[in-house]
Amino acid sequence: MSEKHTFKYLFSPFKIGKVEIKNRMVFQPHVPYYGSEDGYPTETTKRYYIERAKGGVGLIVIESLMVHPSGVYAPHGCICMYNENIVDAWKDFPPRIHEYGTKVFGQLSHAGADVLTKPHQLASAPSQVPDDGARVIPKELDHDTILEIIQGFAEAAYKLKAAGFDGVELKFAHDGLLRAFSSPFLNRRTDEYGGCFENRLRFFKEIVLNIRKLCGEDFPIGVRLCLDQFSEEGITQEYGIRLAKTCEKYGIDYINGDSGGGTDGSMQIFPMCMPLGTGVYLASAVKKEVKIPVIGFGRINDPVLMDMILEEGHADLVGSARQFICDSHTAIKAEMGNLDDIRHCIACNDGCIYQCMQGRPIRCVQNPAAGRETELGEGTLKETETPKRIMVIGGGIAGMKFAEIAAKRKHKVALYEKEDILGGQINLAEKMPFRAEIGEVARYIRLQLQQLDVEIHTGVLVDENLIQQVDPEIIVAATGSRAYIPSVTIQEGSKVKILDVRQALLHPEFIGKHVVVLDKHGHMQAAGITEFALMLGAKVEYVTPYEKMGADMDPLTMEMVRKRVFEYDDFSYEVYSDVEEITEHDVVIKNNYSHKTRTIQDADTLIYANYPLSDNMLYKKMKQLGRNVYDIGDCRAPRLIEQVIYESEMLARKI
Amino acid sequence: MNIIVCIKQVPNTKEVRINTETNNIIREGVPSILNPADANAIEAALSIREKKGGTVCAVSMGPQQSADVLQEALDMGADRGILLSDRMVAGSDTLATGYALSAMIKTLNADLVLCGAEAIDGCTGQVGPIIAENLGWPQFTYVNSVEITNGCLKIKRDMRDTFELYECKLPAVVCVLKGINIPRKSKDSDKRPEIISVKEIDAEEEYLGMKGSPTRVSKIVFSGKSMSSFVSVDGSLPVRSRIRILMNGGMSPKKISFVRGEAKELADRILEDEVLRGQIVK
Repeated sequence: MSEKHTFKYLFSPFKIGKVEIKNRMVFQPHVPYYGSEDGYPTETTKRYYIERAKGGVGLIVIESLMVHPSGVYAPHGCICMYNENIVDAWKDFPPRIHEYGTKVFGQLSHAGADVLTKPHQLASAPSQVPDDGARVIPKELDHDTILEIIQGFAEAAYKLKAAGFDGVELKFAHDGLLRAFSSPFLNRRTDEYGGCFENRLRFFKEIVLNIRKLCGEDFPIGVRLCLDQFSEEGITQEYGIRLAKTCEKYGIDYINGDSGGGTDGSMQIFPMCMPLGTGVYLASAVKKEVKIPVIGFGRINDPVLMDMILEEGHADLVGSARQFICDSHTAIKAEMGNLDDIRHCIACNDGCIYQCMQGRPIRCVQNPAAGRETELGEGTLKETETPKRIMVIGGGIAGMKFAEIAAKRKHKVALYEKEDILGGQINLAEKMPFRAEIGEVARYIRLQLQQLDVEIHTGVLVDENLIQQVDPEIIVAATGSRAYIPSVTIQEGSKVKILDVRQALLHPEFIGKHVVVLDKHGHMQAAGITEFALMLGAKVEYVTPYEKMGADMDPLTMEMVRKRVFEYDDFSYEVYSDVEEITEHDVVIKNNYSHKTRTIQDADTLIYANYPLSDNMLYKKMKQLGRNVYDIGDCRAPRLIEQVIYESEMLARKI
Repeated sequence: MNIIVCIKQVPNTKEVRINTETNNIIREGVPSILNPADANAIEAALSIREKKGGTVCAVSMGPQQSADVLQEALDMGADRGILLSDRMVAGSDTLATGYALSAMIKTLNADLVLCGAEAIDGCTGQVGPIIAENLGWPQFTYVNSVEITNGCLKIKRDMRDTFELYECKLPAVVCVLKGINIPRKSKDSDKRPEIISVKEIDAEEEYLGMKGSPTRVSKIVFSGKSMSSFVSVDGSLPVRSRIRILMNGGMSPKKISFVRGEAKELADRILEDEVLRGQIVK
């Protein structure tokens, strides 16, 4: 266990206006898409936030609540404050959050041109200009609709206050109408809402004034503000600071930092490749210029890191969405000194933002309880009345997760792993460039197992005899998978080396100087090994039958991969194609539609990325023998982290 | 071989806080310590004495309580510790301090003067060079290796990107970097520091204390570049560079290179690079 860490600032209270917040941690606003089809909060919505309050976070800013029918992100799942009886729908919620001493604000937004559906629904904006890099052509807002929207913001704030919320936040961030009005690029209006800076900010100013009129001086109004859009036409750092100062002038109570744009999002919800605390310097730059409180942001996944941000004076409060999704009890664990128990967000974006971008309810690859709080939340795990002796075969994340949950339920668990270290494929995945943090998935469970009463045998290959000897009541086969390369036509005596991704990662010395990567996997494997080979100085041609690199990957992560691999002169790629044959020195590829072939000359290595095959011999044998055996993880069917962890936890809860 | 080590008592800057209203350092209640680089200078002197024989004498200037750091030097193994403590030297800047110390050193028949590269309170690094100028001796700053062979001083200066190698006849003044060695643990010594006054050295009054100090601290302001453990990038750079630099943890991607090859080939290449950088002498 770690030595008890003393936090200097993180657990000291802080005031936004007259609202006292018990600590400096903020659960950042985001749309989890748990709302009902017709735009009301559901019990899932509420339980999701309440779980984070229970976990000790000081302030929760919820959603992007929609203020007007002309600006919803997606037609389903967004919560709309203009709906009838919306106050009643929310009424029970703030008290349930307050029960834990946590404060709750509601974020209000109008989507503007930044809608998520494809093909897109009708969107509206100050002028008929698509957002930077987007292809949505919005309707230019009529003057009377603008007035309606301003009123919509004010009434939504008033309803929040009536329902018992502690404050309101306006989304002037990576997307939405507030940002669009402020932008000289997006706002080409010639009436009083366009033109000079003051005119462009008039929409925002009138919203603030109207909220003040309805809600009074004591109801805090914050702004989530984009501080650098990282795009050619978007908000720059300089402009962001100017906006922050304007917010202060208009009587805004705090600035919540934000960056990036709605169009691509890779600089908004920083993927794993970006350093921890990437956005901190932007919040810090604003903090130097304004006197109102500033919330720090941008890949902050650890309470010690949060305390450092406060200690170095970059911000007054620290916000994170993904860390609290991944571990709802981060705050309480930190306060109790159980730092090793904190499960860190790895910013894979697979479960959360990738789902959100498709207008689907969010999840977390590491935390099956996210969005399933009623069923799987903290305190739902019950000790078993009939402890069983369980033998878990395989110490990848499936076996580990099962062992953790089963042991927490007081089953008698013995875990067997053939390698010397637990973690399975995670130990390979973390070798890929810019992917090291994926190791946290195994690290966290490994530390949990150390604290639990689990027998761990590493370096032991389990066979029938050993099973007979141990004679468990239940066998859990988590024996994983083995790489699979479907047959390819190879000319006899070919000098082209064929590797699977696992071999290539384990033995970089096998990777030659001219590499063809064939991606029939669609997730990170092929993209990762492509960059791996490029970094080793190889010339790489990436070939896939799909429409793009990393077809099933989180697009934000892939955006960053592309930003890196295309920097190499020796990188090229071909979509809709497959490997046709391998000759003595060449790889011949064929377009799947035109059937035209092309020869990649003097290729010395072909790295084949494919879904592996289950390693299920032992499972089948045990099943034949009529033993009480379950298969989980890749042993059942090769899948991704999220599916494997969820399945393992569910089985351990059931057994 | 008589080696003089110049040392200083400093506030422990790790515990220093700034009064945000006056912008001055709050010294109250801050423990005093031996300046870290000076401990390295003592260690360097002691290890030369071990190999070449001779004596090590630590000297310092300051109020009576500064004698504590001289006791530390004695406990580490110095032969003598002398403190110049006198109202006449109060308020000295680096020029006056360097002058007073060089006057002290002149009475001690020294072959080599060692100093720490700089003190953690003022960080000027000026006192060593001023002593050398007053003595008329050669001087070496930023030294990360010092040896004596056949009465000849061998010096390596760390210039960050390169190393400079020198040979020099004694006497000389050498200012060593923190990290040149690991200072040994001290054992209680029976020896006690000697405390002397200005009368015992041959110094002219007008160069001492406030009179001899042209430096005035007019005010202290924050640089605005407060300490940050977080990545940052200049907002005026092009978008593509901003993103690339942030992704590389604040470094320009050009600075990163990968080398592949057989183990032996790589080892040879590393060796060659290190020789070029002066890290290893072939």
